[in-house]
Amino acid sequence: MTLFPMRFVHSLFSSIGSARRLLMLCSMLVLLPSMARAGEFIILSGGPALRIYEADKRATHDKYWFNFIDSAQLRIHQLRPKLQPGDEITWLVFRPGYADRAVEMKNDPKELTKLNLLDEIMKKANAENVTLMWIDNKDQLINYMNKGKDRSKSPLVGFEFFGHSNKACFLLDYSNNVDGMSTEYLHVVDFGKINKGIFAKNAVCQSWGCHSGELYSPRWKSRFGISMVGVIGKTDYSRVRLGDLPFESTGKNNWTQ
Amino acid sequence: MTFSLKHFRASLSLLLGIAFCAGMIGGIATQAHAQSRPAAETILQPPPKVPVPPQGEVPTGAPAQLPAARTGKGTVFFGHRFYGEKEAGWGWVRSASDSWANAKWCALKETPGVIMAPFRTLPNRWDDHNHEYKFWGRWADYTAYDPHRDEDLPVFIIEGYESLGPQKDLKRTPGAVRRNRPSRGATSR
Repeated sequence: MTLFPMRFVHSLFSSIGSARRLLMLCSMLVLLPSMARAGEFIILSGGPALRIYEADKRATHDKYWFNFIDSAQLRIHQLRPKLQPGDEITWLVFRPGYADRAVEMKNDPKELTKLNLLDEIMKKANAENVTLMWIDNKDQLINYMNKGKDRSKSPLVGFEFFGHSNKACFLLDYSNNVDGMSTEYLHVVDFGKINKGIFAKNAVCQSWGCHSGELYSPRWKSRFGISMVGVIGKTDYSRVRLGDLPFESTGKNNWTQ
Repeated sequence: MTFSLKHFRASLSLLLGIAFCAGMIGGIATQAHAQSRPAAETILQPPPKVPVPPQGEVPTGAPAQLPAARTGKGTVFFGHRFYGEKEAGWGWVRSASDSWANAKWCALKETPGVIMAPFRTLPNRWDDHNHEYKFWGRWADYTAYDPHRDEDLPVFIIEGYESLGPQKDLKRTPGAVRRNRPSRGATSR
């Protein structure tokens, strides 16, 4: 008579333990996808040209110094509500481009706006509550993409580029160090230096530069297995200062991926 | 047959009807006429005539004045300027002991506030097309990417120059000697 209740209590407690373990397992299974989804969204801004190199050209570039900053800020605004809980936005900005343009603005008597562009970018990053990372060259960019965080725990859930580009290349600088040229750029041949497994399965990528849809997007897809939206033709940043994102310049909506 | 009051009334109403119709037609016509001709103040002025920028490659190579010399120190090089609207390269540069056949198609690294390319002292950047210069400077330890050509070019850092005036065309095609076109021809940006 005395043994039965003890057995019953023991079996009851063991079943409660099993139920607790089952409950924990279920909750882990429920939470696992959301934990795995938490990642990093990279926004990359290239630098502007110097006016001394561009002012006398028929196809002149970068009259406005913050084309690639204001557009990135607008995009961050758009993206933030769409991100999953736990996802973070990191804003990578090519520092030498803005440092050089600020010096040029300071020394140009015709330029009425005298801004410390680096300070202005930091203010914008603080206003958007995003992590700002300065980069000075391509190697730093590749290194951050590969090892900036543990990519097994914090994969890239998105990557977007604002800057000059041709179909084969993201130009971190253009007409800034050398007239009409780039000395820091991420070419399709550099994809081999970027680890294949850094992206989450459902990552979204987009280039807001010119011609990316013609070659960069397909090469990106074949390297990382992730589509990159890009345009066939040129993008137009002329309305960025008015609060619009860059648009496909012909109006034919030639975005592809 | 007498002209009775009844007939007078009928005639009067007929006349009034004709007058009303005529007025309506006239009014409509006037309105249509007014619509076809907008008010004078709303007529747009013709666009102002602006000077058309040079189309395509129009190098003159004959500036009124040659760039004044800005001599430097150290090793001497020679440069042959080539202008093309779609060319980001400056021209060919060779060492003093080399021939033009071995000259390198290159980019020119200027230093704002210190020394700039000679063409910047001329009215247009194409004015010194096919001019030659005595250069002081050095080769950079980095290359520059020409997005129009999808090529990496050597960079010459200019430290001084002296104009040797216009010369004959080199009969060479612009571009790097060793082609680096992984994408087999990128378009311009």
